Amino acid sequence: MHSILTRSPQVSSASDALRHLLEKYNITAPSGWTLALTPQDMDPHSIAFVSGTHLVQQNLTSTLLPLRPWREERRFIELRSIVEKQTVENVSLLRFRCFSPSQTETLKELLYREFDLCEWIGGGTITSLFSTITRDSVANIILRLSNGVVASIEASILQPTGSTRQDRHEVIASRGVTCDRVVDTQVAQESIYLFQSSNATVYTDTDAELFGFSADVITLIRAALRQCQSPIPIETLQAQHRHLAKVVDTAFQSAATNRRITL
Amino acid sequence: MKPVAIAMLSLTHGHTRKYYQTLKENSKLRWVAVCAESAEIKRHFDSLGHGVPCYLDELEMFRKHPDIEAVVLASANQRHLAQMKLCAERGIHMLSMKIPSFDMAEYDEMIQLVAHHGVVCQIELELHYNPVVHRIKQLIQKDAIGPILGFQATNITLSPVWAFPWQGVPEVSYGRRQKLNTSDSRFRGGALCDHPHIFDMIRWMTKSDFESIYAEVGKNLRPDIEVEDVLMVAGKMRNGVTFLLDPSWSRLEERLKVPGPGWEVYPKRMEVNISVIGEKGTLMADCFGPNVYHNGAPNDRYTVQYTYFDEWIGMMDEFVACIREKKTPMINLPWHRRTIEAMNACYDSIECGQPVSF
Repeated sequence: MHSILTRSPQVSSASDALRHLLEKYNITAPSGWTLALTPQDMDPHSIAFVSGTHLVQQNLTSTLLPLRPWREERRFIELRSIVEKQTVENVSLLRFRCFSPSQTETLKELLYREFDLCEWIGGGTITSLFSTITRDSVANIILRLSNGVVASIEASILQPTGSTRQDRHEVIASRGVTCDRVVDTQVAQESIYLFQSSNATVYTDTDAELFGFSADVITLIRAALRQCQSPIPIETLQAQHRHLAKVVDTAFQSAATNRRITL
Repeated sequence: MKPVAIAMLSLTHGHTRKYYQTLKENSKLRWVAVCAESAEIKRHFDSLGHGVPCYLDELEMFRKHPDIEAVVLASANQRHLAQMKLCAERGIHMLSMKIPSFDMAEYDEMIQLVAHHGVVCQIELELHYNPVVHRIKQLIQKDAIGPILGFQATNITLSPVWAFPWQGVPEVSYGRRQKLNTSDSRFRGGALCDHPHIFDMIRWMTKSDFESIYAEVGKNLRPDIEVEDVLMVAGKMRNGVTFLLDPSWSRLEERLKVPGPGWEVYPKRMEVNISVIGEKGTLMADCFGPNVYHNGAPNDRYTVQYTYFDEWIGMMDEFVACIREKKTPMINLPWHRRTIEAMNACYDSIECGQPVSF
């Protein structure tokens, strides 16, 4: 069978895939760059594209570019666009949920991402929050953005090992509701269900150019590509990272003191 | 690799606007010019600010841009043969829309033209470059469900006739004015002509050919159009696979002249779902899902906001590779001929009220 999307041998790793896209779209990258999929991949001596979540408990060095790869996920791009273009008008509430297995991320990493999504989709910065956290594994948070939007985040890292992340991002406005989950459902849908035994195997492929990579790797490659295409100064990226890391710390502080905290 | 100098013709096909971004961004392409079918279409194109010269005369465009190596024939079905002649005689490679022609004599003329002039002619069946479809093919190839016994697929959409009127004109869409059957006032050229993908996909996935096809047309949801808008197709492949296909315009629409937000009445304006049943398992897929959803502007209706539309990137990559490396496209005219024959067989079955055998 004629196959078009199978990756060529030179695109066998994430770095090769990024290099391939840089070449395809005539985009220049900083010399000596690396793509750090995990904290262990970070090279202190070269420019490293890395998810900001991996840096939440680390000191920044001048070569680390903390990216927010989830902003490359199409569902989040569309949700933001729906708010930005005022398809839903006068947003009042954000109702976010994310349940992950602990093998994939820590609670701090999870919150770092969800806080950023609140700000990016909600269109304001977090100004205050109240948080309750149990055993560094489960958190329930209410926060307020600078534009008056109130958000709730239900978070857990106690999903069974090997299970997929279950999340939902709902935006409630005076004109319309938008959500990345279909009405009257609780769990994420997939593109393909393969029934071979009692449990279905599922697949959701969203990127033909990066077919075969996991969703987290695809979004990191896309984020690095975007950074090369429209560079944001490293100082700005690091300042954004410090802001998000501070919000995460504040959540734990709020839980420890049982106080709403203004940032 | 030297970028391929490319142009577009007509700009009247529903997929026209999908190409603009790819033609601009892909460094393997150099977007040289377009030729609009009418002054109104030219005005609209110029207003988009792409900075690409737009002509109203195809010959003038080719004269002023002798460097054009390839074109996208973004035109109504009836225009394809004339445009193919124009291009093939100049040694220009072509990306044809999904229906080159329903007239098989005309179709064979196209095959001869392309062979005689040694140009590339790729058919726009972009679903092959969809990552979900790729995964399905891969699973089947890896024998995940065993030998295939059954296949079902939908390619159901709203009707584009209000935005692209030629799709409701039998002569332009189907190529001639032919009644569905003697007792029916409608003509060939509607929903079926808009949805070849599933007739093609079943051939790839089952690795077999059509043995027989039966089709039945329903009462039109839009009584004011003169072509069919809902139908069902069932049949068997030579290897015994039984199939059911739904290529209807069964999702109602607002009658917009320019497609945009609020086009759909039913929440999801387009669906391609495929189920494949094998001896060892069953596979169910939504080629354009999951998505995000809202009930906001402009109509406050529950609406599916699509998230996946990058099929044109891979398709143009293949087109460029075929031109530069002198390869034959996966969906070429000879391959696609059987798909068109199968669609014609649906009309023949509707006409005679019985299955049609190949």
